[in-house]
Amino acid sequence: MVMSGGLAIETRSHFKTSTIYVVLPVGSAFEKQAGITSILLEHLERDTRQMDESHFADYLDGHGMELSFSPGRTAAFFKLRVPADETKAAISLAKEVFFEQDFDEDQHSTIVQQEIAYIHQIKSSPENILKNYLKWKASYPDAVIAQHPSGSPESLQEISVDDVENHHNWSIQHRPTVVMVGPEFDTQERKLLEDFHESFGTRKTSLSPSPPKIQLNSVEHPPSMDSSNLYMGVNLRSKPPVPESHAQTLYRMIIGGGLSTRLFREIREVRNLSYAPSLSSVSFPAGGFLTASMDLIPESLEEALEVTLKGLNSVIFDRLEEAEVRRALHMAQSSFSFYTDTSSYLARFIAGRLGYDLSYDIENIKKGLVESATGDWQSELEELWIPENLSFCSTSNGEFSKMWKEKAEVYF
Amino acid sequence: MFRTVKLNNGVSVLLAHYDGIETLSIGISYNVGGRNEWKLPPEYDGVSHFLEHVFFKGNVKYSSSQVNEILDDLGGMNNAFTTDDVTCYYTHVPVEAADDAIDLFHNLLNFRNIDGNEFEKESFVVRQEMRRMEDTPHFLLFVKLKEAINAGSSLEMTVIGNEYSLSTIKFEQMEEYREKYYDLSNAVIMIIGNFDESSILDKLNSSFGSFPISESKPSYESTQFIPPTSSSLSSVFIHKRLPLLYFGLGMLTAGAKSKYAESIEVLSVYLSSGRSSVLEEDLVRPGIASFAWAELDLWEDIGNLIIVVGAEQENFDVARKLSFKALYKLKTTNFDEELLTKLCDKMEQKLRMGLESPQNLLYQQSTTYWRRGRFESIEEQIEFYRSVTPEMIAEAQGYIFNNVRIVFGLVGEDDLSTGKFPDGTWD
Repeated sequence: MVMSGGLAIETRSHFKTSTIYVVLPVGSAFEKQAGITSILLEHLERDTRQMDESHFADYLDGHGMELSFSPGRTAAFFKLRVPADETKAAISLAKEVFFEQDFDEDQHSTIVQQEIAYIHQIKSSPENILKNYLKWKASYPDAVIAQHPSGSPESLQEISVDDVENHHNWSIQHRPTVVMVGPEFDTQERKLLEDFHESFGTRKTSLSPSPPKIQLNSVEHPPSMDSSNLYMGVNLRSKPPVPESHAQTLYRMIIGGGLSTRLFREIREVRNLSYAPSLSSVSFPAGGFLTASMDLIPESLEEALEVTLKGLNSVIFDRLEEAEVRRALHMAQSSFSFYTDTSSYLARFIAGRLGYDLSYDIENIKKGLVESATGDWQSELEELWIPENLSFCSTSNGEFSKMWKEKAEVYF
Repeated sequence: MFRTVKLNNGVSVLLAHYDGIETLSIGISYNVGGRNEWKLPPEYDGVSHFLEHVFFKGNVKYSSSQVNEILDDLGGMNNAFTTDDVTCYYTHVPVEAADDAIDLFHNLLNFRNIDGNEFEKESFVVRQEMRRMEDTPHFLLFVKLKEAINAGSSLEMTVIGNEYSLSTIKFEQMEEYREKYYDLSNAVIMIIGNFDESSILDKLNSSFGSFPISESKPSYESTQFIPPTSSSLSSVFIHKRLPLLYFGLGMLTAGAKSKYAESIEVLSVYLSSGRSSVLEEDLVRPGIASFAWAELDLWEDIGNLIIVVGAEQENFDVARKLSFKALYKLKTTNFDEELLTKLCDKMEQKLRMGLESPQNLLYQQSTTYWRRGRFESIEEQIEFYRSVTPEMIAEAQGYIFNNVRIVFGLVGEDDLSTGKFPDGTWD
């Protein structure tokens, strides 16, 4: 049930927990200092004015509360999952976390050091480098959205505790999406959540990264650590999530939704080029992209590129077997059912939909998918297949960019 | 509802009902893993895990591509995992697909020869998986520590195998291995989610319950925890250029069937569970470590406690000392009633939160059955922990942490191990 703009409360009697999920539209793409939102969230996650760090940790553990913040590129995400009988306490705590904060100098230094170490942790894995940095740089070169939400060690060291306090004041002036999911809620709990939602301001953010003009862009960057595998990704920019595109959902499922899909079947099962070929997708109000990524040995890259490009292209332009589309439809429908397993999954799903003003009625979404699957959904995707939308990224030394262009140009 | 039933042929089945949920998890767990490979010729290293990859590529009814297509058509999320003592295959499906999913799993267990081509191709994929593990420093460290602390027992095996074994094993050898260990006498089935008990039991009996099973259950060589008479420290070093140092400590404990099991679990919660744990308070919150966590694995006969820490080079000395001291607290802390109640509360909340999802319960129970000798409901688990007294903890502290044999592990450019316990620990 949507209560008002950006606020939703949903119940399922089988849940044992309640989850409060907040999406605050203040991601790293809107920052004046790179990484400041991630530093702010670390401050918010550690204590409140009433509870120091130790007391706060004891309180959360003692009440079985799972609290997490994560910084994104267009929004910051907050999740508080609690046993259902702790819902009232959870709403009060959420309010305290967001609005009753002091920012301490000593704690700030510790947080900055930890965030720098966190960046080094990401950069300890070549696969994470591809997923956190390279695919973004390839898809949106020079756009602010390509910057990582954690910033850089240099940018983090420039941030003062006063900067964080100012950023906090600015952030809470924005109107968040707030979702609460659990087994049942009484009137008081609903009212408390409304009050929490109203405590934020009404500002909005908007972001329109200009479409890259580079055709068949490529980013190759060898990691600074020893690695056993090479990691490669082919990116295809997609349409913004509004209006809803069931065609894109079906496309994603056919490429990489399961064990019989193009990526897994061709890359792993038929040709045995990679252990874990996978498809990921990201979206934000102005666009998004999907990435077919995989671990490889260098000798396999050429063949893997050919197969991946062919798969991405043919699912848009070739006639598909009915059974393949049916499987994609079933996988897509199931994926929506799985969201109802826990309050946490469902809250995150609803928040994602509400953020784009999309309905989160799962049965209706499934019906929409069925209608699309029986129609000409492929033609809706044809406009995506332009050289500006395709890019390549890899943890290699720079030796594959030329090959990438040659392979990809064949499809235009 | 959480109960264990026996099929007509004697196979145990866990039926765990989640009222109102729209999905169902179905799994089959074999009591087979790396431990079974111990003392076999070297080409068998990793055969259990390799077999996991090709398990469904040799059945009477379907080709491997058909299997994948049917699973996807059911809308299932499907996967498998192999540990030292368990290989588990599972699918998570919408409730309406339950019958078809059971039929499929049943058909997949009607084995025929493994497809030779599939075997050759999959050998490369498993080696690729091994290289991927090498690119994940915390996992690599964990695996190396586990091997080192279990040297001389069946737990010293590397579950994924090695370059030599994966390229040498023949599919005929793998088939023999499958024949020997993958009988339903060595398996349990788990049905977790929303289902009608009577019809699901009929379905299971007419499918899995119709397989003949052998009378003797295959086994692996067990070991036992022997408290060291003096403390010692050894090290493993993995050379790797990384922007962060990864180090850890590993040691043996008593196992899941010992009288110390619940006490060890409680001590592990004190060490590493939640924000108020020792590792969080002493290493992470002060900014000394980027992360610090511990994993306790209690096999039926012995346990492993392994701490893994990530720290910047300049913090390494302090982080190392504090990691030892954190572990040493398990020996010296006075676990009075108040602290014990707090830890049990934390444990209960963690269990209830974690097991809201049927899939999580399946992961947990797939190993619980073999290690504890039965499936255990959340309520039973909570009751076990609540039964722990300060005296029991004190006894476990003396038995396990009085003298310790610790392996220090490090992934980095230089071997920074000192070979000595930090002052104020087991020095």
